[in-house]
Amino acid sequence: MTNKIDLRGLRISIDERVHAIYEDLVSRSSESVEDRPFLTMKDVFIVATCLGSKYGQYKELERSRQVFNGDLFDPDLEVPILCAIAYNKNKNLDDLYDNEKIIRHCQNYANGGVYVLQEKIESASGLGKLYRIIDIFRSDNIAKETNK
Amino acid sequence: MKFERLELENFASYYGKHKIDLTCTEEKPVVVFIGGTGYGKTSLFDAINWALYGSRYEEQMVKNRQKNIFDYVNEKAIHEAKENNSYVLTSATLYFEHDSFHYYILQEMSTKITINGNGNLQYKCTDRMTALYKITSKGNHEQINYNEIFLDELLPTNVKDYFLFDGDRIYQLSNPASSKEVRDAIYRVVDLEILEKSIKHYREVEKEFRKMAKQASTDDLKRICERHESVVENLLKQKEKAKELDNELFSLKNQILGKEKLLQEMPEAKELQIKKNEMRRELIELDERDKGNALKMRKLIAPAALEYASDACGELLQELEKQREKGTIPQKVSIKLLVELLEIQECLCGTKLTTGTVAYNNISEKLTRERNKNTGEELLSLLYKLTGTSKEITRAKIEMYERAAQHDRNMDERREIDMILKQIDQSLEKMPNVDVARTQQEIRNMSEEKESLIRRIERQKIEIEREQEEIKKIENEREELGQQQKKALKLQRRENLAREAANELEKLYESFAEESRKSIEDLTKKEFQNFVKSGSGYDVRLNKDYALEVVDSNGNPALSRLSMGQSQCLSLSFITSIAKVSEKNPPLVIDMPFGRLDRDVHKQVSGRLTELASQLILFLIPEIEWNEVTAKILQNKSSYIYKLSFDERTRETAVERVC
Repeated sequence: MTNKIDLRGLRISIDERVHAIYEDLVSRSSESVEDRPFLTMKDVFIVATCLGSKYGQYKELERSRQVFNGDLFDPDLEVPILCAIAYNKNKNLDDLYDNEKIIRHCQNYANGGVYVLQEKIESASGLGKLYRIIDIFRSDNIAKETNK
Repeated sequence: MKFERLELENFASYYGKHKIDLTCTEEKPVVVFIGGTGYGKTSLFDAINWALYGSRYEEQMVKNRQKNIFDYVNEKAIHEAKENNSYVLTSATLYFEHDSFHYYILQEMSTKITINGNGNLQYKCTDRMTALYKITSKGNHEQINYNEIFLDELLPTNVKDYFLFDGDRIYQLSNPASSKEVRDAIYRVVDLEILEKSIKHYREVEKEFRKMAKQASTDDLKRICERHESVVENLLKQKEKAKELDNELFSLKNQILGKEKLLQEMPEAKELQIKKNEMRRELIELDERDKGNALKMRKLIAPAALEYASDACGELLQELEKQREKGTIPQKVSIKLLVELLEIQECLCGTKLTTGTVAYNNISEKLTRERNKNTGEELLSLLYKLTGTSKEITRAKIEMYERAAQHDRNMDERREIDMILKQIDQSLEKMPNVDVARTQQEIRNMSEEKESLIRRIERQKIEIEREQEEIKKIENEREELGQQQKKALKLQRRENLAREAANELEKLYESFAEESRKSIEDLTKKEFQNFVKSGSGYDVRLNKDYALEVVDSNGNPALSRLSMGQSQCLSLSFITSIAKVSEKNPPLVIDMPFGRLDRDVHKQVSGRLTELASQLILFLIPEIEWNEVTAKILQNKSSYIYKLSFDERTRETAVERVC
């Protein structure tokens, strides 16, 4: 237990089995921007966590693999949202005083959410994964929703 | 290196023996030969090349000019040999100084002349000699090995075309279809070949260690090593294939450029071809813009996706608000109260809280405990931050959708341009002029081939990536198994080191090539403006495909608008930049450099040329190239000026020193 919500210095892991999905979505200099819609592994993780939370896909990691550092999260934008997702698991504010617990809940949501992301991209139509994702956002109507 | 003397015997129109002094001073670095067409200027140029490069230059002459060395045996000497049933001795000897030592190279050939059944002359080389001598300080002539290593130190064959060249070649270099030659020139002069050799060496070392590691392993590790070896070999083959495909594409693009230039020179097709070039440029710009747009869009995906967590955020916000209303966050009240009690040293019940008393100690301990407990400050801060996220997410979403809409507009524009381009192609193909229609058809076929090649290259890249991933997996497994077989592991690590070295050199190779391209681009731009005053309105670029480009002040392509003289100056600027970047300082030997230049640029070019090398040998046509303008400048800078005269009757050239 700590007094401070601080994800810096913590290693973020994903399941070994989904590593290939992440790799496939992340930018490589040799490939077109359209087919590599994410700049970093952290970006895929964020989207996967949000989707996991939205669709209730919580899946524990079986064989974890560290992929980036918690320092990469934006403390004013991403960290509060990750806290909200972590809190929502047990609806217990005490969970927010345990940074490792926050990460663990988010990792599990990301682990479930990444399959949602993969399925959505595969079933969407259009050229380029980047534009497919934007179409998915459009059809999920996230543009019109706001935080409650 | 500096040339000192050229000696000829029965070479081309130079009958008998000739000695030509080429020594120059620092103040007067120029040697000029003035002679009309057919007077033997190019033969002197060839004699210098033959003396230096011997049989390799002979091969080049056969390939490029369909001339063989017997064409250089003097006519009069042939006649005499035929009459006397003797041999003709033909030779060229070049004396030069290099790194404070004096040398000479001798090329000598003995030719027997016979007459065949049809009455035609037949030539047979009966003796051939190439010899390199060093003149010692005592004046002795020591023969040393004439080999590639020595020549490479002087002036490697593969770059000599940029120091010993003719006017036509200068004209061709600025042609858009010459980008392959331009790229090759850059790669050669900056010694990228050395890096290439080093990469090859490390790949060999890597292969050797791989084999040794395999031999040193047993059981499962051996099987993994065999698998590894086969995948690595396959990857190298795939990379080689990818390189070949890239070269094929580069050459095809070059050919298309050449054909399009041809089309632009045909009056009926000119307008359409110019329009096509403009449209294509717009398309490239549009694609660049769209790529930039996509890159920015990619940054917005993650923040916009946070919207999916809006329900979760709503729940937490509601809970935090509730806690705040209840006063549980923040929990500052109790701490504040305890601090105040300790300050006034009296409890609410009236008990005195003197320092050291049991009551004082109890209150102090409680304060410490409270301070260590969660105060809710962090949750309050989270509440504020969470409230602020909504604005950020909305901003990201709006921008992302705006950019997506921009992409849609770009795609509409792209389709329109594509349609115009197709219409232009169709119009060109339907032109009554057979040449235009045929050339366009050829361009279309080549473009289709290019598209298919690009697809193959893309597939090849994917294949390479797959192989690389496979290798990574196998290597992890190999490393794990290697822990039990130390000797094999040691060799694996050496193999890895060699591979890393080769990979690093490959990266270095790419960045060095790119750096050299940029340096040459900058220098060419500068030189072009030095050569042609009117060139200041133009920007010169050497694009990523190594084509020389010229754009006007509005950013429009202007290469085709350059005059013949300006084009030639552009090539000269490029050549001199290459010479500078190479950091080699051999003599510049140019056959007819001003042939295609306007008179008004003669002054600038001749003035500039004298500053480019420590020795400059020029072969000039009287009146056209050697005129009052060039003579005025070059006379003061020349150590020797020779006049070539040709006797039509005897078909002999005489060399006369005029200055």
